Amino acid sequence: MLKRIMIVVAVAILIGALAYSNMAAEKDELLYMKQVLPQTNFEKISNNPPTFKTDQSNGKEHYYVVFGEANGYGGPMKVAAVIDPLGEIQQVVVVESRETPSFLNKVLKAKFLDQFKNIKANDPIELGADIDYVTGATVSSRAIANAVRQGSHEVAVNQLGLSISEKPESWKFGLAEASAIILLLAVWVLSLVWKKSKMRYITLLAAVIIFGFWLKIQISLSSISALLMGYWPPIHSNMIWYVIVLGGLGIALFSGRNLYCYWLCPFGGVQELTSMVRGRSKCRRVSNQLLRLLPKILLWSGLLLTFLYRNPAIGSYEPFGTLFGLTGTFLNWLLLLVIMTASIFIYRFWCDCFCPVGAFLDICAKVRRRLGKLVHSPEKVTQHQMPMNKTE
Amino acid sequence: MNNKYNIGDILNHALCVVTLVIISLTFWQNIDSNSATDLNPQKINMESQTPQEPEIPENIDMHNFAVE
Repeated sequence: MLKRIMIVVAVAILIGALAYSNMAAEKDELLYMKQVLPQTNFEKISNNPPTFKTDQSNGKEHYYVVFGEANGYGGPMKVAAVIDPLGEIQQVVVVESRETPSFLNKVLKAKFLDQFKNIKANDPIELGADIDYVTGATVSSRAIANAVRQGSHEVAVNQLGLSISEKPESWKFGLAEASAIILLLAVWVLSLVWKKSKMRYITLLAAVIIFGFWLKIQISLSSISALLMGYWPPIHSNMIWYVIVLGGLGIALFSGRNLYCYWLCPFGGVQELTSMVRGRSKCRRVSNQLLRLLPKILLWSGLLLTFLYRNPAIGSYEPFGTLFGLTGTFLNWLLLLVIMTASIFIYRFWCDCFCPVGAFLDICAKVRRRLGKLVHSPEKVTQHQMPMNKTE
Repeated sequence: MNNKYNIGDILNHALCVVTLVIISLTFWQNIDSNSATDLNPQKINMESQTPQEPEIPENIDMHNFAVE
């Protein structure tokens, strides 16, 4: 009974925080304009997107300030573009950001925003053609370019009477997306056909190579938060995100089995490889019930922080990016070192004690099973998907 | 009671505590860097963007204009 009350309270707090984050007023554009242009008179001429026009009382022609918004890797970014009377962009500034700080800082330090100067408001503003993206922050670069394009095209057409030559947005579907779909389908089929869990070593190894070292993408607390907060990246250019995040979640929700962790997670795969240093049979497994509750507590804490700060990146603490992307702070590297060392002695140390993704997918699978729409029985699932041998 | 088991358990718990401390510090670092990238209002500059035409005084005699 106490356990149920605690679960209800924990979920209620999370829902409350999410509702608060949605209701919390965004920075008002008018206030921002008054802050940055205290001595200029302007009027709001459009709400969607928010557009302001300076007055002509001092003999100068109208300038336009238009706001645009687009999703980056960690969350949305709002930018303002200043357009001169001739229809040229004169300045772009980032007004508000929920993007992962390291990516945003990279973009700002590379003077990415300066590239927009003197570009025509009706130009396609295409990344790679009109604008060069910042290496290591491609998603952030694309988000800013999209936000600027969104606002400046509106001004070009509705205020300056210019015509735009916009190319239809192309869908990014290549080898990476195809490999990810094939791997997910392979796991789905193999887990149904072959009941022996040994088969998962093949898919795990493939996942380490494809998801880990090649694509450097996997489900993380940040992607779960972004999913729950509605910060979904544009699908035509980020299909791989949808394949992996919705694929892993979809399998859990559809089958009631958390296949992702033990069949597909590249970090889990690396830990299993590490445990082979001493031999899998010599590795202990965490059996303390309190320690095994930790992932759920950390998941809850991470989501709460994320919702309160309205920033999907803030609750993220996993060392995935550090291992596969070879980037991270001192703390990220230290955490990775501890986890990898522990994995030599303790089987899937991170997964059992700290992984918020595993906790989330387990909850999803459990909810699905509780709904009574099972394909497999719960006993079978536990035995099949989580090899647990406490005597080891 | 098996001594080896106890040592293993202690090591296990010690590693958990160390990891938890690092994770807590990471949360703190994330919050700190979030406030650091809280963007201060960046100045919008409209004054020196397009060169203004030089104004010609009304009383100038354009026909008898000479440069010394």
